[in-house]
Amino acid sequence: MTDSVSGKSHEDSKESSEAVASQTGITDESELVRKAREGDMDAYDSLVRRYQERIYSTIYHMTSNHEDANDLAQEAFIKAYQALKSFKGGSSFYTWVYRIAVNKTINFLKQRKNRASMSLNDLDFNAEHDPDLVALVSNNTPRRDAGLAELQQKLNEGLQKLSEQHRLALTLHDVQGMSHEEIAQIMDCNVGTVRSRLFYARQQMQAFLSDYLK
Amino acid sequence: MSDAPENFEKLSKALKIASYEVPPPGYFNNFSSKVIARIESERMTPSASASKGQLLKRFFSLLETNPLAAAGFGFSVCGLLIAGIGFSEYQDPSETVSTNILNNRETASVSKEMDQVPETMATLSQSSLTPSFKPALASNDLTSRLFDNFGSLSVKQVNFNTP
Repeated sequence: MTDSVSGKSHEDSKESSEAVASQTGITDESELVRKAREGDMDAYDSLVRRYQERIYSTIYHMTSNHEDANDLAQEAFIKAYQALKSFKGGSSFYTWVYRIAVNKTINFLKQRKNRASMSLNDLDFNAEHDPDLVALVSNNTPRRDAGLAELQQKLNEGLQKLSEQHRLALTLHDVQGMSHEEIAQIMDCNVGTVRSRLFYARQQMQAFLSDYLK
Repeated sequence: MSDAPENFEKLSKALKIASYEVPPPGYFNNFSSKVIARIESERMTPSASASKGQLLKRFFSLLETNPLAAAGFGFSVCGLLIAGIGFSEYQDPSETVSTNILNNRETASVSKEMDQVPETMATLSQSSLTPSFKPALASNDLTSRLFDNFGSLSVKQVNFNTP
């Protein structure tokens, strides 16, 4: 499940979930789900640890707000636990939790439509050494850190201008590095729709960030 | 329509910055424990599961997580609405007939009573005056008042010859 655009966060999450699995001694997701359904909180804790970063990251890029992402990610996991009995196992637990988190986030965004505020996370130190980003930023400003912060701000503004569905497709594919098929499962639509949303979202973002993409 | 990488190469590079946005260090150390604590605190709340609020929450979470349940709920609400509208507009023919019969009977009984009323009264009623069968004064009272003074009268001879 790697992506040419950005496989980083997805790969990191995979590594962390493997670490969690080795801690609990259970590697099988369905086994963890079964135990959690029976009330085993340690099993559910393992499931939360396995997916917390990816869920948080997706919600964060949807809201561009750290506090909102924190609350929504917690609520998504709580809701998933409460609805665990209705989980039939037709899809993976991961896809199911993602769907809950995404629906919760979209509902939240509809409610807060007119009071969007950004509370952005800091950039990882490694961002300053990414050759692609360095090349992008150095054209515009001689100060790399200032340029990166500006690009981060502009990028989040651009994301907020997209509709929820377009933003979600772009976040899941280009930031989270998911495949079209996975996104189609999460968004409950077909792959063609995902491709079309992705194309439109990229066009919009390209136009918005045109000053940085010369 | 094409999402070929070469068309959006620079954008993809710019989007890489999003993957470098990280929460504060150690942020995820307590995340799962907070989630578990919240789940357990909700569990410990006495009779919380029995309360109406919880039931509604569960119901809505079921609708949110299960598309079939949501679709079923939507259909049933629409069905009830349509049935309600249909029922309110539908008039049972047997009810209509019985209502007509009732109306005819009422009209007939009223007209019979009207036949018994003297013609003058009927005329009055036609000229938009309300007829009344109660006299303004009781007949006994009227008789006693009219002839009370005649009881003390005496017969005397009178001379009509002029001098």
